[in-house]
Amino acid sequence: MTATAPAPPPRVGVIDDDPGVRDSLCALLASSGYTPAGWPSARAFLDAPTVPAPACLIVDVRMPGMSGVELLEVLRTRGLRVPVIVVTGHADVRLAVRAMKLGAVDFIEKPFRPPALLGAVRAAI
Amino acid sequence: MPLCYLESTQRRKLAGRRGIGAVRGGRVRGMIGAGETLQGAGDWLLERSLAAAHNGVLIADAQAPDCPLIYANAAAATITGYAPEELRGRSCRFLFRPDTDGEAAREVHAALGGRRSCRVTFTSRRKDGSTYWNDLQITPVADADGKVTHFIGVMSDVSEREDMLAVLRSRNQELEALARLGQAFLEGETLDTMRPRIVALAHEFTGVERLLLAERDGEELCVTAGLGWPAGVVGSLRLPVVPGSLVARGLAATSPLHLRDLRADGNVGLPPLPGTGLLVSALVLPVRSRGDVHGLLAGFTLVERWFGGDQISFLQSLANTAALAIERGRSEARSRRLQRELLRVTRDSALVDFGATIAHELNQPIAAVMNYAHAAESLLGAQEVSGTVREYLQRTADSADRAGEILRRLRQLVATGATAREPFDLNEAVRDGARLALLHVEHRAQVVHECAPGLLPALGDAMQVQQVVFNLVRNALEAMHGQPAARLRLATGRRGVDALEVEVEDCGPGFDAAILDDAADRYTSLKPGGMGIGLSICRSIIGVHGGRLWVTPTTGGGATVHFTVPVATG
Repeated sequence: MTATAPAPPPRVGVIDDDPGVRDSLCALLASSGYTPAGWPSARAFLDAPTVPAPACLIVDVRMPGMSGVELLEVLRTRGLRVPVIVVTGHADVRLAVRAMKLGAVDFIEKPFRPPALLGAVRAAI
Repeated sequence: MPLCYLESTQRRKLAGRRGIGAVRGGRVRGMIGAGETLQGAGDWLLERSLAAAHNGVLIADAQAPDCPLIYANAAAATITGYAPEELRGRSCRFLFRPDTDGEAAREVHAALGGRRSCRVTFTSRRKDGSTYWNDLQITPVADADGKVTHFIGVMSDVSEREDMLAVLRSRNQELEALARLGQAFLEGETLDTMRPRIVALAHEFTGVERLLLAERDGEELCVTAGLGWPAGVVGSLRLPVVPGSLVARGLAATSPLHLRDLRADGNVGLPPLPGTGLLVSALVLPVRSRGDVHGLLAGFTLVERWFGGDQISFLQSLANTAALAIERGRSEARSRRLQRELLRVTRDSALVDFGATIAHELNQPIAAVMNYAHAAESLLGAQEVSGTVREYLQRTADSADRAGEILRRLRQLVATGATAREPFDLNEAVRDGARLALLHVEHRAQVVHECAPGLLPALGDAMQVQQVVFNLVRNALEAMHGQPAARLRLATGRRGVDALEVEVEDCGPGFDAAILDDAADRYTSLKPGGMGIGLSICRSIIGVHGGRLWVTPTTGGGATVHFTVPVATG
């Protein structure tokens, strides 16, 4: 381990099918000093992971195709330990409980207050 | 008391004199026993005093075997019913018949044997066989050498006092029982458990063999609780309201209906039931409150019986309590029905579906607005820009925030409505709901879980109960925001036979009474910022589950929200 250049800004992945939410989240993260990367679906994320892997993932629960919870299951079976923050627009407690039991580090209701999300990201990283 | 005087002074003042003071030797004993006049003015006066005394006075020879009586005054004769001549020579054992108070007899026997005084109150029997309460004080009388020569017995008939005490004692017990019943009612005991309790109390305090509580059910009465009847009567026997029958008369009566002999009446209105015996007397009380007659409380006896005013008023109090319990039970059932109906209508209404769709669709752009506003604000951070731009951005974020809050509440409203009705682990639902509520909320509260171990499964929709706990915990945290030493306590436990209770206790500023009163009515309100709608929705959810939600002040400040859910049986 050599202490050279300052550590690059942490990479944060955003997986959300709504382009408005996805892009604005990326803008929010960038404004707070993170390096954001967005994917429109769970499948797109799994097919084209970035290098290096994100330090944290923000995942929408309800997406066409693979849901956020299903993505969590896949990540767990692949042994990926990336912290996941689950975002839902439905205040669906049942889904949230399932997500938490699958190891999601946090659960946030949409629309959320940006500082709350940034706080969750900070805590996750 | 004159005899105390005699005892304490006999040796000092009366020694050597004749009369009562010299009741020691055979001479004087013979003199009193024969009813002869005592000699001398003082003796005459003493004898007159004894004869005039209200208390019965007996003098027994302590030296003769079996301590025979040598003197009895007029009052003793009146109390016992024996003539003075009949009393003389008897052992004082005659007061204690084998069928009366054995304990008192033993005590007196021991006192006589031990040459000491004693005082007993016991049931005694007169010559004619009737009984009375006797208050008897026995005092030994000693001679100059300290040898006990006589016993003096002073007795009085305290039947009136003892009877009065017995009445007071039983009235007191009745009142205590009524108070306990009232307390149980106030604490929310259900109608199902109160009915048998009321009937059991009626039996306990009146000894009536056959009791029934019958409640209006359409055109007939249904027996909802009873005692002393064959199996199958309670819950299934229906009593038609035939004009002129006991049932019809009882329902129409404004005061208790007391029938000493039903055999003459013939129109009891009860279908013949095997194994009940011939019903002789009846007391029928209307179960009414505020003019509404809900049914009857009726007692039947197998022997002719007269009911006293105290007993009737006790039974009437029970009937009144039953009326309140029935009324509350019915209004609870009605409001549950209405609530369910309202929820169904609300859920089904196209408008709400439309609202839900809009809420969902608006969610995304609002989230985006909030994110962009915040991002722009952060980026402006280092740059020199006008304060107005910064302020406008802040206002944009605030407005989006408010719009988001309205949507959150709208979605909560749409989510209300019981779907599942299956057994679930209440402790787990409480833990999960609280865990979610505590996530990404900045709080300094100490959170204490007091989950009762081995709790029976609850019945309902676990997800919705989680939702309720979630809302209550969030409310509690909001209430305690910024407060030092904030403490949140979550407890579960059993409540009564058929319910489980959850308590969410905070030490915040407590609830505004206005919120509590009309929380249930503000169902359709979407007022942002207040917690009323959250509590109201929680109450609706719990109501649909057949439970109750209420708030009590926390000792030392704050509020405790309690709610119950039914136990899953079978």
